[in-house]
Amino acid sequence: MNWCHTWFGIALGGLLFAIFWMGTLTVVDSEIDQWMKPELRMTFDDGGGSVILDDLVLPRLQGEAKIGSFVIITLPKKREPFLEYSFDNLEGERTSVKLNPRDGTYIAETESEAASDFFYSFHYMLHIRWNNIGLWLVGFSSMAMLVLIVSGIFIHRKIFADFFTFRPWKALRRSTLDLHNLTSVVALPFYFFITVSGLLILFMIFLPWPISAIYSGDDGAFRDDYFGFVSLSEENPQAAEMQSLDQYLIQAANIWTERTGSPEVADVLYINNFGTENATVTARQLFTSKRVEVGKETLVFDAISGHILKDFSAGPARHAHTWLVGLHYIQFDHWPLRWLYLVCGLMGCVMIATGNLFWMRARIRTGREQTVQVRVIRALTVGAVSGIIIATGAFLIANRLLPAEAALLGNGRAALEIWAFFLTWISTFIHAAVRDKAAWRDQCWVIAVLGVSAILLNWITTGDHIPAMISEGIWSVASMDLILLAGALTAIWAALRLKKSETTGAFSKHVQTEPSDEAQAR
Amino acid sequence: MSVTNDALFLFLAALTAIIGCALLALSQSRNWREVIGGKPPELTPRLAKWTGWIFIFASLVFCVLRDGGSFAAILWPLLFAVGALSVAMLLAYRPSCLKPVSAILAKAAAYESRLRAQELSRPGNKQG
Repeated sequence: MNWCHTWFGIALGGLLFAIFWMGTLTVVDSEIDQWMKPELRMTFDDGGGSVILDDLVLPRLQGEAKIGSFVIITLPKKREPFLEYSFDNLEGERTSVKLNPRDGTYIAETESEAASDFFYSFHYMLHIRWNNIGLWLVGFSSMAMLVLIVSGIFIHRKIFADFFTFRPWKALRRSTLDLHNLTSVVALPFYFFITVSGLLILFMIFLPWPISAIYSGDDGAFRDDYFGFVSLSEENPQAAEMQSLDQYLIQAANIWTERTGSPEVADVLYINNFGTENATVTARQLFTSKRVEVGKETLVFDAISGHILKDFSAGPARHAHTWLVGLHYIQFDHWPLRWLYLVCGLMGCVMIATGNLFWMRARIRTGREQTVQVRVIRALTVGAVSGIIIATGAFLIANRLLPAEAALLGNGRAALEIWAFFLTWISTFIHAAVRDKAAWRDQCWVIAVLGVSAILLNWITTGDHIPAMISEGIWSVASMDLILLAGALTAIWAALRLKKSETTGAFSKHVQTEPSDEAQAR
Repeated sequence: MSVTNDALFLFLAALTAIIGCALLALSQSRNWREVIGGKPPELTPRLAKWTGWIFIFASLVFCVLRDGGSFAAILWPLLFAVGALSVAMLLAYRPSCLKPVSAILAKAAAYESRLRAQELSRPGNKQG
């Protein structure tokens, strides 16, 4: 067990940290999006019931979308206060449009992948799309995470006796282990469920065989049964124009409200085979604000005749799945939970980082500090931990500094932001290899500088500062600035403490080493 | 549910989670020494453990009252996690902050001994 925990941890610690860090950022993806795309800074509070798609969306689609196109319309909600729809345009290119739900004006947003594209896809596919390799790597790491959680429980000798134990005044190695144990044990159910639910979201990728065995490789048939969709044939249908979208929203709302006894609305509409006689409209409660479950209710209408083709409500097994998946997606509107997820996500990052640090401390104590093994792992750990935080800071700074028309070597503005992220990240590894022990302190100072600069740049480029955002009720941007400030202050504190620890050998000002305790922990 | 009720139940759920964790921490003699000093009186660790769990269960009740079971199943363990982390940090840096929690223990001990006395004084229960 010990061997398994140590080597899975060392081999995958950096990767797990990246996944956890990006996942934690994705908890506040809409908020980061609003920070990075100032055009989205607005408020919307009425739950999506008042939007009139027949005026805002349908005429535009009839002019711009290709016949037979698949259309997704996402209604505005509190966290994403805009109306969004995507379709294949007349040239066949996938196009996405955001509208202000109040007046239907087009939002010319900053060109950026921001958090909901870049951080989110990095979280589950590491920005490696080729052959799903990224997905499989994340899947493998998630399985390893489960192994680490279980083996950790077995090798932790005093789970209950040491439940609340953190002794910063003890030798650095001991206090690192305390912090690793503490952050692991108190949020253990969170780590377990977040990892399992992450694997469950991608069950069709990781376990395709049972589905293909039962459905003989027909994924469409499986989706129809499992998600409540309807697939109609796409063979040479006649062109036909649909009259209304709003009628389906109203009909779905009425049916669901009657079923549950409380007000319900659809938050997303799909149109299949747009502009043909086979067109269907699928109304879904995909990411509803008021419940954990994802995609529990689905209604499919014939878009031309208006008849209901399918009324799907999740059965017990599917219901359990929608809850677990919803627990991972956290698209519900519940601000205390969002903050708690953020704190627990950061706790997970601390758990992974202290795990690797403890491994190094154990080797330094036995006089193996200058071995290649320790130096390599140290450089990798510094780059994986503080390096990815610096790279994230660089991504935010690049977003504020790059001009709208920026382009280099065929890369547009959004791609250049990602280049800034990866180039910065690589350079932190090089810096860590060169500076060895001092790298932690250097990089903490860089994080502090980046955090403060990001706040100032947001102010300079948009005129939005924390008090102004609070008074306008745009909490997303105010919270982002406050988190950046807290991050910068924590980095300064860590840098100062690290400097002190180089002279005293402990993380706290009162150094105390107990030989008996050292012997016990060995 | 109204905004005030939401805020009240959230506050109570967080408070009971933290107090519950603090009581569980005080049920361990090492932490008792840090916070109060000396050895805990006899039976106090057991009492602290039981009251601690009662508070943590109360936290679950407040979570359910606020949000219903589906959200409470997530809110409760996360409040517990953050509560336990806060208690551990207080024990490490400001142990005296946890002293007021021992007042709850004193109350619980007094109540328990009163119960015991009543039990003994009831006719037919003499031999206890």
